[in-house]
Formats: sequence, structure tokens, C-alpha cells
Amino acid sequence: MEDKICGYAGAALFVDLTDEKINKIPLDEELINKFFGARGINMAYITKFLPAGVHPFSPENVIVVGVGPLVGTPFPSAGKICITTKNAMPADYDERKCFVGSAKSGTRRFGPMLKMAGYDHLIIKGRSAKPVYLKIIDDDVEIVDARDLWGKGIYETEDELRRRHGGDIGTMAIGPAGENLVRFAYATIDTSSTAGRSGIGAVMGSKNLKAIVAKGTKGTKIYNAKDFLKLVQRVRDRVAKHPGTAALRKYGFMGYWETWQLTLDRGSWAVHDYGHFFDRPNYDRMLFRFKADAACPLGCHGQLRVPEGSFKGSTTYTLNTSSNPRIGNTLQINKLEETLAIGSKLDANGLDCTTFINMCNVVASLHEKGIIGKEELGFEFSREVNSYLKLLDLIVKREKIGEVLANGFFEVGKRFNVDVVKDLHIELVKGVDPIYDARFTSLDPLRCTYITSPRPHHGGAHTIFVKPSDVAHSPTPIDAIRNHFRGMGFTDDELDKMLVSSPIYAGFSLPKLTIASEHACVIYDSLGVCSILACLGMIDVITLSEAYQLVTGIDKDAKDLMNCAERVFNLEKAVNVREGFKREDDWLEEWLHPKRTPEPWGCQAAMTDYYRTRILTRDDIHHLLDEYYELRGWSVEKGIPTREKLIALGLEEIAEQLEKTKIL
Amino acid sequence: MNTEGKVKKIVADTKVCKECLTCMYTCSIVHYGESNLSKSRIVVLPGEYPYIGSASSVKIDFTNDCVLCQSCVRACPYGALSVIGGEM
Repeated sequence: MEDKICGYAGAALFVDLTDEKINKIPLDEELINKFFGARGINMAYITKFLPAGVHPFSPENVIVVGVGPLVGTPFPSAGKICITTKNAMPADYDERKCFVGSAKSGTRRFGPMLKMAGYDHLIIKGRSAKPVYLKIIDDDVEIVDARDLWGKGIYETEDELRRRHGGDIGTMAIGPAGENLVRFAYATIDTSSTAGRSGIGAVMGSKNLKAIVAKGTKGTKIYNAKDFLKLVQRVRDRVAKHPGTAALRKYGFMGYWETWQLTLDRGSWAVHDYGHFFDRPNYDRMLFRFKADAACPLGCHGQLRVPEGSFKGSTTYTLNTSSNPRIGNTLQINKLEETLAIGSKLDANGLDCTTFINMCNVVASLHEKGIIGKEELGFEFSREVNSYLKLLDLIVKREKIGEVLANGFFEVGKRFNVDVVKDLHIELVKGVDPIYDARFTSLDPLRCTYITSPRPHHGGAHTIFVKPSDVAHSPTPIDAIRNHFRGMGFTDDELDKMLVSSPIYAGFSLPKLTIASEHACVIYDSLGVCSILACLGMIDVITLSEAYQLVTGIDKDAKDLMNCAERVFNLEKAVNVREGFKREDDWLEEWLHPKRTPEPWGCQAAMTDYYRTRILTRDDIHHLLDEYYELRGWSVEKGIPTREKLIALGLEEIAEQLEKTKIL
Repeated sequence: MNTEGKVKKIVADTKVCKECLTCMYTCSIVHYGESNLSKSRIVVLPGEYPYIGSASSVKIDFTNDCVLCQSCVRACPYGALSVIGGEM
């Protein structure tokens, strides 16, 4: 322990499921210095171990689990881990491309316990000949027969593993959706968090890996424990005094219902004031407990159970409370208990909520157009909860139309001869359906990351812009935005240059704030903290750099961490370029088409700048992207990092690989 | 303020506890100089199976090594821990 860097366990565990080989690899000090934590070091391992172009379900695909240096300490919210792999949702009709990216997930015990077992990272490749789970209890690492668990729901599986190995284990498990390779299956961690959204569960299923359990007795040494505990108390006090804390603790995300509600609008339902169906009083009957992630002072994982009626007993652990109105709004359901019935089944099977409800709307569209009917579905479809539940079963079991839906949106397009974007108006970027619609929220830096980020999901990209601009609500004043970005370590001179209007975008430079947000989120993910605390101003990059220094003894201030984050982001982009992603993939066509919402609400929603001064055109988006690539020092024409940029960031290995294949 | 000796017992409200384990991390750092769940003198565990659907699924115990220093009480973000027979 003495020769390890504080805050790190100092090793990665490499498991090849094909050969049943298990190796412990020392965590290279250079990796720590260059990539500093979970998301960063994960991507360095991916660069090394994932061959370019392999199918996501190939045994050669690699899953890397990363635990950041603050995880396993009492730093508020430091329970997050990153799971990095080649994801399963195809980004085009030919299924040639799937993005490589990191899902961030909360953990209560899994992250801390993996580290306390002695591992900062877990690298899994190969495919087991039979269903297995991976047991990691300190140095006792074993690939265990899991044939008796295969087919079981996620909670049943996790409870059985707790019975076998003790209630203090951390668990990561998949359900039948992952086993059956549904492209949008997720893995659940410690019962209440998910590693979604684009098929990590299916990648685990393809490896016949049902679950991972972790437990350890090795401590994490802290460089300056006394001052670290003082800092922890300071942050805890900040959380306690925050005006939103009480409501978040009582209702989870619904504590901020007035804000979150704005982010859910998609204009697909004629009921604009659907909010009252889901407002807080409805939850009082159903919320029965909250759980926190490791060291989290908010504990926003609300657990809901239907107390009576047809869906009595339906329980959800993973859906944060705002997911229920998201289901309701998208599927036109006005009863909280019905959204819980869907959530309960999604939970047990391990199926991504957002993609499932969008897939339901695809089926509804095809049904309304007369393209599919009872023959394909096996039942009379209508827009009501029982039809949705039947669809869920078909997808998980890959029966009838479920076989098509389980393979994602492009498969639907091919099978039924429709263009999923032009005909069905699915919002897709790199094969992913975003959870927000910028036509209703504006194209702010958070929503812009959906277009620019290699992994097109916010996955921790929460910034102050989570609260969108909306005509009915005042957008965040520029001074508050300045203050938020000051917390990332920018000086006033730098902020002056970031907060300038251009002829096409008022208030600030969208590309500059998008880049800063992307880097800040790399830091949250790599250190292992929750971006919800960051977007609420409870923590910021400056505070995190203090925590990092006190835990590790490594002298990195906010600027240094932001520079490391730039390196990580460039590597992520370069790895995806290696997979064939190009500038044209940074595009979300549907957002450019104003959406006519149903009567009587009836309005035309169009994508605007944050302060809603003008509607953004196709040319505007091209122009903003040009500026984004230029600011990053990338090729504007190709929208990818240049050789010079990669070399300057110390990413010689990937630069050489891309040069050899003549991509650069 | 050192109140050791006055405090007779630390009590836990399992309905308030959200199982964030902050108490355990803090205890191990204060007493052993490292963050280590297995060394904590306060032990928070899932209490019932099935985990899902159980309203009181946390159990909280103290090991014999506990010296009632109250570090865990002060660290708990939710106020789930309190003392009997003494002052904070």
C-alpha cells in the first residue's frame, strides 16, 4: 500500500472470459498523470485492447469498468463509475458503425467495493461458453457458473447474489433483455442505478456475463485526511444550505418539477398541461423509500410502488422520479401508476426507458399508417398501457415484431421500408435517440453536446443549462452562467471572451461553452462524482481539484484537470474516428424541422438560441460546428482531430493508428 | 467538543437512513487513517430480502470497538444518527 499513489487502488483486473484467464495489471503512473481517472483511463485501455471495427457482440469487444480516485471516500456524491465499451445501437442502416463511449452510473457499493478489492479498473473481453458471473472478493477472483441465474430478472438475480456473498457486496447485473441481446438493454448497478443507454446490457449478454459482484477489505489511503474531511464538511454544508436540497430529498428529481417539466416537452401529446397528472402530490401515495448513491447527500433515487388497483405492487427502483412523467408525456398516459407498471417491467428486464418509449411511438406510427397490424403484433394495438406492456414482452423475448424492434430503429426502417428520420421523425444522432428535444429547450451547450459528443447522450453532461430557456420561464441570467463557468477555473478575461454574442447566437459563444461543458463533464465522470450536484452549483471543478489534490497528493489545479479532460475528450473522439465516425455523424437532422404540436395546444416549436432571439437554420448549425472544430484545433473540413493536435496532447499511439489507415 | 464519556449510546433511525455509507467512510478515516468500509465501527447493511419492495431494508449496527466518538453522527447528511445520554 505504501508505494501506491493515494486515492488509487493501483491495479486493473483483466479477465478473458474465453480462456478463463485472469490477470492483475499494475496501474501505470503515466496513465494516472495523463488520464487521471475512470472515464479517462477507461478510454486509454479501450484504445489499447479494443480492435477497430469489431461487432459490438464480438468476443473481441471489450468492457472496461472504471472507478475514479474520489470513489470510496466520503466526498459528497463520489459513487459514480464509468462503463466503457463499443455500444450496441447501430449508427447507420448498414450497422457498420457503433459508437464507443462511457456510460456513467451511480453505485452504492459496487464502485467503492471494486476499489477496496484492489482494482481501479476492470477489463473484460472474450465470451464464456456458458452463462457465468464474475466474483471479485479481494484477491479471490472467480468466473462462476450462472446457468441457474440466466433468465431471471435483475432484482431476483441481485438478491440471490446477496444471499450467496453477503449484503455488503456491490452488484452489476443484466436481465432477460441483455441476455437476449436487445440492442437497448442496460445493466443495473446496486439495484437502483443503470449503465445505459445504448446496450451495455446486451454487450454483457453477448459475453454470457450475467453479473459481476465485488467486495473488498483494502482501504483507500488519503494523502491529507484531515484537510480532506474539512473540505468534505464544507461541501456538505453547502448542500445543506442549498434551497433545493429539502425538495430533492423529499421527491427526488420531482423536487425540481417546475424545471424538469420543461425538459420533457416533446410536443407529441395534445395535453400540454400534463404536469398535474404527475405533480408531487401524486407521489405521496407511492414513494416508499429513497436510496442514496455512495456518499451522496441528496439521495434522489426515489423508489415507488403502486399501492392499489390493477397494477398494485408494481415497483421501480431505477427510474428517477422524473422518468415517470417522461413515460407519460411520450406515451400519452395520464396515470402515474400506469407509468410505474411500465417502469417496473423495464427494471426487471433491464431495458432502457427512453428508447423503449420512443420505440412504442414508432410502432404507433406504423400502426396508424397501416404498415403493421395484428399479424405482425399478435394483438390489437392501441395507445394504452396494456399494449405497451405487451410490446415490452415481445421486445425482451424477441418474438413477432419484437425481433425487429430489439435490433433498433434502423432495423425497423429496413424491415418496413420506411426512413426512420424522414418518415417517422425519430430524432437520431449516431444511432441514439436523445432524451431532450432542442426544439423545446433551445440549442444550449448541454443539448449541443448531443450533436458534438462521440457518445450522444448527456451521461453526466449536466451543467447549469439543465434548466432550459423557455418562453414561459425566464432563462438563466448571463451573470449566473458566468459564475457557473468561473467554477470551472476560467478567469474573468477568459469569461469575457466566452460570453459574447455573435450574429447568429446571442449571449455567449455556444461552441466555447459547449467545449468547456464537455471537459467539465469528463472531470466529473473521471473523478466519480455526480453532475446533478455540479449543475446545482454544490460542487464545481475548482472544488474537485482541491479534493483531488487532498486525496491523491498530485498537484493538479482546475486548469490542469481541464487540460487533462481535453486530452481524454480528444482520445474519445479519435477512437470513434477509428470506428469510422466522421463530421457528417455530428448531425441531428430532425431538430432542424419545426414541430407542429397537436391541437388545441397547437404551436410550431423550432430550435433557437438559448435566449430565444432567433431560429437556428441549417447554415447556422454548420457555422457553429465549423467554429467548434476550429476552437478544438481540429480539421474543420473533416470534423476530427488533426495529427498535430493529437501529438500535442500526447496521444501519439492513436495518431499513428489513424495515420496508418489514412484517416488523418 | 469532546463529549466522550457522557454519551451512552448512538441510535440509528433506519427509516431516515438512505444507505449512503458516509458514516462508514468517515469512521474508518478517523480511526484508521484510510477509507475502508470493512474497518468501520458502524456497519450499515441491507436488512431484508427481497431488497426490492421492502420499506425498511437497512440495518445499522456498531462493533464492539466503537468508542462513541460521534464522527458518524456528525457526518450523516440525513440526520439518521443521534446520541442518547450526552450532547453533540
